[in-house]
Parts: sequence; C-alpha cells; structure tokens
Amino acid sequence: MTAALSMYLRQALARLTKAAEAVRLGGAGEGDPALSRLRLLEDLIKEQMPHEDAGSSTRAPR
Amino acid sequence: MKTLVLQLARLGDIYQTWPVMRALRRAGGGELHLLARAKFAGAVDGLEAIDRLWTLDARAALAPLVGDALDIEASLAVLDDLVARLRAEGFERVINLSYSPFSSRLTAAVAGSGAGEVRGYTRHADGYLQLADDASAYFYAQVGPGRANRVHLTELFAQTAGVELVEADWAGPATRPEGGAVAAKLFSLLNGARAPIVVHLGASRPGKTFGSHKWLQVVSGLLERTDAPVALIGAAGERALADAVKSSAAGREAVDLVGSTTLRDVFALLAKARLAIGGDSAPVHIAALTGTPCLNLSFREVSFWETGPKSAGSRILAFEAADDLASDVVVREALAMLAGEEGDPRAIRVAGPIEPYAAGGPFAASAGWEWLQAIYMGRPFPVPESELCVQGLLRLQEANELALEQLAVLGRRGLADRTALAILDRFDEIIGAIAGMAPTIGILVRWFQTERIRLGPMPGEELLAKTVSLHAKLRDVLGLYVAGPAREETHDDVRMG
Repeated sequence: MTAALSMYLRQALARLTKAAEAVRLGGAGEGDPALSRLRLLEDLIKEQMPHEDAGSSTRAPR
Repeated sequence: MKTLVLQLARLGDIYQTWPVMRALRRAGGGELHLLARAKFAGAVDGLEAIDRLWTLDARAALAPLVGDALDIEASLAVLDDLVARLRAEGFERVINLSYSPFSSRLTAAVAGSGAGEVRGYTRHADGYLQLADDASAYFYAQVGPGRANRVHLTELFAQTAGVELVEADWAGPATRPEGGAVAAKLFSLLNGARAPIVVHLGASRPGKTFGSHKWLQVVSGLLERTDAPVALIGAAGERALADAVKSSAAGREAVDLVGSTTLRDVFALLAKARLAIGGDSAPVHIAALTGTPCLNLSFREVSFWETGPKSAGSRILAFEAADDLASDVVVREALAMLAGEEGDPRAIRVAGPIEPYAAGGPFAASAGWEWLQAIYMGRPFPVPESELCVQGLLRLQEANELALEQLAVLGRRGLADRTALAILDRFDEIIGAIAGMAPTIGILVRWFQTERIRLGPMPGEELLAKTVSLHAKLRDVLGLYVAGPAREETHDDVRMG
C-alpha cells in the first residue's frame, strides 16, 4: 500500500469514526442499521491496512 | 435450499474452499452461490459446484475515499448496492467462511433479521460479534500461527459449513485451459514426454518462503541432479525474484513461466507435474486439488497444520525460519520424493486430503494440542506440562472463585450491585494477565472468553444464569488440577460441550 493511499484511508476512517459517534449520540445502539452501515465500511477499510496480529488481513480472527 | 457462501480471503483460502463447495453441493439441492473478492475471483474459475459467483469489488468501494473529495456516501452506496442485491436473492442459508470482522458485518447485513440458517462469523442484533457455530468459536479462540491448533483450515471450513468432506471433493476443474490461450513454453511442458517439477518462488509475504539466493541453489540442484524439466511459476510481481533465480546447470535451463500463466494454466501444469515445491501459497492448495505431491517449505509465519499441503505423498519441511533450512536439504528431499525413498526423518508426511499429518520429532507431541483436544473434542485433560502451568491454573481458580462469588452477590442483591460489577469488570484483566503465564493457560482462558462472547444479548437474569454456568464449567476443569469444589471429578468426567 502506498503512503498516499494509507493516508487517504486513515482520513476516511477518522471521518467515519466521527460520523458513527454522531449517530451514537443521537441514541442509536451498535445494532442500529445506520451505524451498522458505517461499521461495514469502517471494517472494509481496516482490512486494507496492515494488521499486527493476523497473518492475513482478510482472515483476521478479531 | 438457496445458499450463499462468503469467502472473502485470498487465493489460497478460496482454493481450500473448493472441497467444501463440492460437499455442500453433494449434501443437498438448491442453488449454491459464492461471494468472493473481485481481485481473487479468478480462483473460482473452473469450480463446477457453484451456480453463481458474486464479487465484492473493494477497489470500487474504496475509490471514492481516495482523493481530496473523500466521498464517504459514494463508498457506502457501493456497499449498499451489493447488500441490496444479495438480500433480494432471499438466501435461506448464509455461510461465512471468512472469519473477519468485515465479513461478519456483511453476513449479518445479507442475512437480515428474518434469514434462516447463518453459519460462521456474523453479528447479533445489538451489533456485537456472533460466533454462530462451534467451529467458528474454535477458530476465533484458537486458530492462527503460533497457536496449538492442528485442525486444517479446509476441515474448519467444512465444520463451519456443517458438511463432511470425502476424498473426491479435492479435484481440479473439469476442463483444461483452451489450447490457443496457453503460452508456447507452457504448451511444450504440458505436451512433453517428461513430467515437470514445478517450483513456486514467491508468497504473499517474504517470510513464508525462501529468498532468491536459496531458490537459485534449489533450482540449480534440481537441474543438475534430475532429468525432469524444472518450471518456475509465480505472479507478475515476482518477476525480479524469477530473474534472480533463473539458472542453467548441466546444460539445461529452468523454464520461466513467472507472470505468464493464468490460474487455470497452473492447474494444468500442476496436474502434469511429478512434484511441486514451494512455500505456503496458492499453488500448494491448487496441488491439493490436482493431487500433485508437494514439497512444502514452512516457516513460523504460517502454521502448516492449518494451511499445509493435502495431496497424498506430500511432505513438509517445517523450520523456525528460512535460515534454518539449507537449500541442499530441500533438493535431497525432492530427490527422495521422486525416487519414492524415505528421505529426511524431520519431514512431515501427508497420506491424503482426509488423513491427519504424520509428524515426528519436535512435532510429535504438543501439550497445547492435548489441551485443545480435551476442551473441544472430549479427550481426557492432560497432566500439566510445567510448574508454571500449575501455578497459572491455581491463579485462574482463585480468580474464577472470586468471579463466582460476585455473580452470587448479583443474584442475591440484584444486577445493579456496583461493587460486584466493578470486581467482575476487573476479571477480564486478571485472567488476561494469567493467560500469559503459560501457553496452555492461554488456551483455557481464550476458550472461556470466547464462550462468554457467544452468550450474546439476552435478558439480565438469563445472562446471569448462563454466565454462572460458564464459570462453573471452568471450575470443573480447574478442579481437576487444584483443590476446590469440583475436586471429586476425574479427568474423564469433564466435558466442555
């Protein structure tokens, strides 16, 4: 992964975290569809990034 | 039954999923769909067991995030579209063989609240991870390099999917690649009189295989000491490695196919080959499907128990690191395999896709594996392997008794008792520290933590009762080793179920 791509993805993650926090402050739980939608993208982004404790980023146990 | 299987990992995992798809097909009627990443969808080419291939185009989903616009809604729309199309299919069964957080969320989104059977990682209604079956819970707790697990990934996939594998499930594509599409060098190998030795040079990470210097020695040794054609295979990105390895010896040159074969070509080549040599990577798993014996080089970054070769006659040379394995050992073992000779006693033998590996030397016994078999497979609990393990069990018992006391307080005084809750909150931290005392204690702690995750959302009183029951199970095991309330049990009496 290039440094530029990594930077963009980190930026997107930060934005998503903020958006998720706003949804939570609105009273939504983790199972809320709006929050689940954000978490799906969040986890897709995380899979693209090097993972310290997993051999395969797409088979990360946690 | 209309079934969707999610396999969102890389090439090797997709090939290890082939036998499971065939077993699912064999097990019942109905449509069988597979979702794979667009980037690795080529690994599904030739798999006759599926009715439809769906692809997740991660690149398309993430593209709107790259650049100054950073359009999150556009990214979400790509995922929304995939989820909507999959949901519209009305799958009655969703099986996730990916074991990843993203796949668990996608599984939950596709299955929805009204879906029938869901297997593999998914999400509870409250959004938290749900380990829907025992195999997934086992994977979550105990699988990965450095862990004691000895159950192969293909078997774990099968158990997650709820099917039993038979030897015939390991087979290549029904058809060969089109003659005209095959490169001339490959064509001559496929049609030559002598079956080649295929060497796969690369891997997804450098620590999984040899570097160029050792490969050069291996390839030169094979050219010198055999009369078989030696073919080099690999992805286009492994071009530099291939250039460094290309060698001639005894008036012969290795046939360089790196970057010039499709995955279907590799199937055809391996089907023709006498022997495949390489690290833990996709060709090993393709060779399992073509029945080609493999000489697999395995280092600590991977666990050969989980992702090693499955074809009969294969052998594994497992060492801590590539530096510990001499290239000449590899050449000698390859020659022994070609001659049908015994070879290096350290090599792990593969009898066939269903049989467990025959491993001697440092791999013959494993305290961790004995514990895993006791916890998950109903085998007797082993004698503690060290004084540190005994000490760890004692600490764990003390912590568990404290937790049980606090749970009893919650039962008596109500679920809002702050002191009891505060002590229970510290329990995870405490057993996390104890888990580090000995690897086998870690196994027991991870089992307990995972089973607690599996409890999921439920009314408070029910959750309390189930939590107490789980701690009581832990007490039963600990009682085998440490004086306590369950001391009268025998090793054979305790089943974790």
